[in-house]
Amino acid sequence: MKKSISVISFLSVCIFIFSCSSEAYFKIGAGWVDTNMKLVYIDSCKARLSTVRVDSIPTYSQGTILVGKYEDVNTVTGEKLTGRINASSYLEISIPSVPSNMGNNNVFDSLFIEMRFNGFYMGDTLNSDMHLKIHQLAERIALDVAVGTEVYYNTTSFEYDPNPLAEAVFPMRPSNTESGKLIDGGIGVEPVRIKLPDYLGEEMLRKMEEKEEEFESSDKFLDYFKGLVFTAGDDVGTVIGFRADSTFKINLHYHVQEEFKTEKLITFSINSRNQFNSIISDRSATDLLPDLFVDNEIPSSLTGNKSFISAGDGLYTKIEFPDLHDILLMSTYGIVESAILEIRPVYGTYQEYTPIPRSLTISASNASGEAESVLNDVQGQSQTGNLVIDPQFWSNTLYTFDVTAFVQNQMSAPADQKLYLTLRMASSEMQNSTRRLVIGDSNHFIETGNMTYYNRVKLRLYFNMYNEKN
Amino acid sequence: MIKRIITFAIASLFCVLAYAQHSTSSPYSTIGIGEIDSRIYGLNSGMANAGIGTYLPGFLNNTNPAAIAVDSSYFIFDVSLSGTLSRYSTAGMKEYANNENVKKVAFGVRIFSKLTVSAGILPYSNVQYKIQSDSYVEGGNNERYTTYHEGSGGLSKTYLSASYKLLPYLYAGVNASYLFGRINRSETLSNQTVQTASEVDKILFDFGLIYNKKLNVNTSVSAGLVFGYQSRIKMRNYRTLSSLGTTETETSTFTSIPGNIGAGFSIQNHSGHSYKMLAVDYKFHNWANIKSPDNRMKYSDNHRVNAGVQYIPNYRTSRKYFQRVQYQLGAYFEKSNQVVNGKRISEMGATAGMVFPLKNNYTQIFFSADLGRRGGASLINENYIRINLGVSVNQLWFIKWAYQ
Repeated sequence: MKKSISVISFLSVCIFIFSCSSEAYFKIGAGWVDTNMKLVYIDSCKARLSTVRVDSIPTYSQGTILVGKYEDVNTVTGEKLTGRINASSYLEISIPSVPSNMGNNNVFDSLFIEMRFNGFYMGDTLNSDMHLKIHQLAERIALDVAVGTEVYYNTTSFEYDPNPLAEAVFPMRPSNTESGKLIDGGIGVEPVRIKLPDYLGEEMLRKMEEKEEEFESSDKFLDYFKGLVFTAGDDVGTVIGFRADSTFKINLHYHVQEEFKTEKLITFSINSRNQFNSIISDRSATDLLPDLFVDNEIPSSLTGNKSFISAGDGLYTKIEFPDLHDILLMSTYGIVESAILEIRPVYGTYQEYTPIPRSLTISASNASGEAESVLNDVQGQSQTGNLVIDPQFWSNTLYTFDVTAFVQNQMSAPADQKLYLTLRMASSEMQNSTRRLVIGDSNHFIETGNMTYYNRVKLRLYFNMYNEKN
Repeated sequence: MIKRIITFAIASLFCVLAYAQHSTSSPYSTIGIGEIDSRIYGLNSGMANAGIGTYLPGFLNNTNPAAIAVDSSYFIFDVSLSGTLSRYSTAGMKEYANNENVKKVAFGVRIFSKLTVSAGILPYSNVQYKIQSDSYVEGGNNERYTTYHEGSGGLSKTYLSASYKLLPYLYAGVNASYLFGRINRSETLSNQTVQTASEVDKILFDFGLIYNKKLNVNTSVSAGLVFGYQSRIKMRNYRTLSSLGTTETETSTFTSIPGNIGAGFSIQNHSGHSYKMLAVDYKFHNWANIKSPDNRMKYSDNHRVNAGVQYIPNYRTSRKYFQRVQYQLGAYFEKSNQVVNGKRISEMGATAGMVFPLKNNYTQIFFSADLGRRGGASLINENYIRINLGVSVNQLWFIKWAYQ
């Protein structure tokens, strides 16, 4: 009896030890298992695009001076896109430090603005020159709000003397901006130097010499020298960017003639807090006529089957998927495994002179269709669109976004509740450039010669379907 | 004695707990209520379970309720364990699976001179598989995806059998079985899982007769007959979709257990102190009458033949232990009820076993090996080796109790 019990116990222990069978899945038998789930790829879901305009965009304190005029045109079809952009820049100049031992025997030499390209351009920089006009402000850059809370927008303006203080025409070499090479007179292209009139320099030097009140306090200085406005000449060609930081200088050169000639320099620098860009788009010749906007929105069907995103003047694209719910009808129960949104720039709207933005931001309205929040990918990482440029065929240039979470939300929301996505310029380019992007909607195409380009928005869905068998 | 009972109870409990972990790993178990296990995991496992026509005192014969034979005042307790190693193969692929389990716990006792009863638990069907299947994304560009399928559980049978001596050589038996269990299946695609569970509980009856005839002093023959009727089984099905959280939907479906009939014959011979026996069974299950729950597998009638012999060189000797050991050989063939792609799955195998008597000659440890093959041309073929180990305790309970 005892023996048999020990035998039983022994065998049971053996069994427990042996029971750790392999965890691997068999491939044999795959044809015998009852499969009710399947993965279906769907890319026929229609996307409804519209362009939304915003009133204004803050453009101050971005460290960028934008100036120029650009007509946004599709270079292949000649179609007018976002309009005629006119960028000008407002700058406040800080009071310089005046040498305390300044005598009366100073001789004025020159007054120059010295500034550097920041790399931004829109338009042909090789075959045209920049025509820059520098005006003097007639009123101070200031708003009737507490100091430090002023916000200057692309639509903000201040009065300035219409007769320019100085004008310059110079070639544009925006790509030579590497700071290490340019600063301290290193290798590279010389900074842009623009001569300001001698009378201004002489007047300033005399006021300093005589220790007049204009150079005693910042406030008095700004009452005297309110700032500058950079505007472009009449040529419509290029918008270009300069650095509005410590590399921007106004140099007052003079010398002291005693026994020997001693050269001296007083440098004025920019007050970057009170520097902003005015960016105005004239859309009168485009599809984006102000009258066509309803609640600040215009559907892509009214704008040539395309929608727009722009920096500086604030256009963004809103995307809805009105038919998403119909996909749910395909199965007893289904869920979106993965949803990838592909955005394609329209052929002819980007090239070397008019690059498209490197990154976009995507946001989604919440389940109640109101507030927006940034849409991260399934790993919770922020996404910028992974731009891939196809310089050969143009059709395959695209941004891709993981919109799985959004599509899942839309599908679980009631059928009549339309959620939406928004695509905007990334904040790095939104406030300090005039970059823009033109994207094709679900029906978009361009025919040129014997080629047809379909740069269409596409939603690539992997739908996990469960179908009940009866 | 009380000590013994306690130890005994603990051992039994342990066995029952271990019983909870059914397992086979078989593609054959993917459909319906799983793969039906017709083995009885008893003393005759080395004889291919042949026993419908076998009446042997001390043998809890689950093949025929009439054939439960317990000597008066004895109590029999059987436990057996089984382990299988299988190799599955199909065109160009081979995979191995193993599983081990407690298969049977049973006891039997003679109530009075004409009535013997037995009760226990046995597997009825097993579901155990983990299979992955690859498919092309519908509408996709040659992309593939994998769904993972898992199944576990199965049906167990607790039974109460009674054998009644109608005439000096004729016994009639009835077996009431309570069929119960839960079959769990799941299908996973990416992070979505659909789980279905089916629960069954059903009481079934089957019947048996056995007739023993002594041909002469040394030789006797037995013939047995068993019968079970077709019954409809209600399955309560619960479905859970992982992405919907705990939402569960309940449905009922019906399946059936086929009517069956079996016949067996055995002949025993004592010469000197040696013992020989031959047993042959045939069993028929009318599966063709039942609609398969799945259109990939059809049902057809099931035929099974089990045959075995046993031999004890000298059951009286006390010196040469291995002369007292019972040696068994057997073979079986089955045309199964499962028809896949128009091809019938069949199974065949050979068994060999030994039964070792302990000191008192009434407690026996049995061991058998079963080498078999299941499948069919261009189907999934399974080659397996199954090892069964068990103990059959045969105790004089009541007399001892009376003395204490």
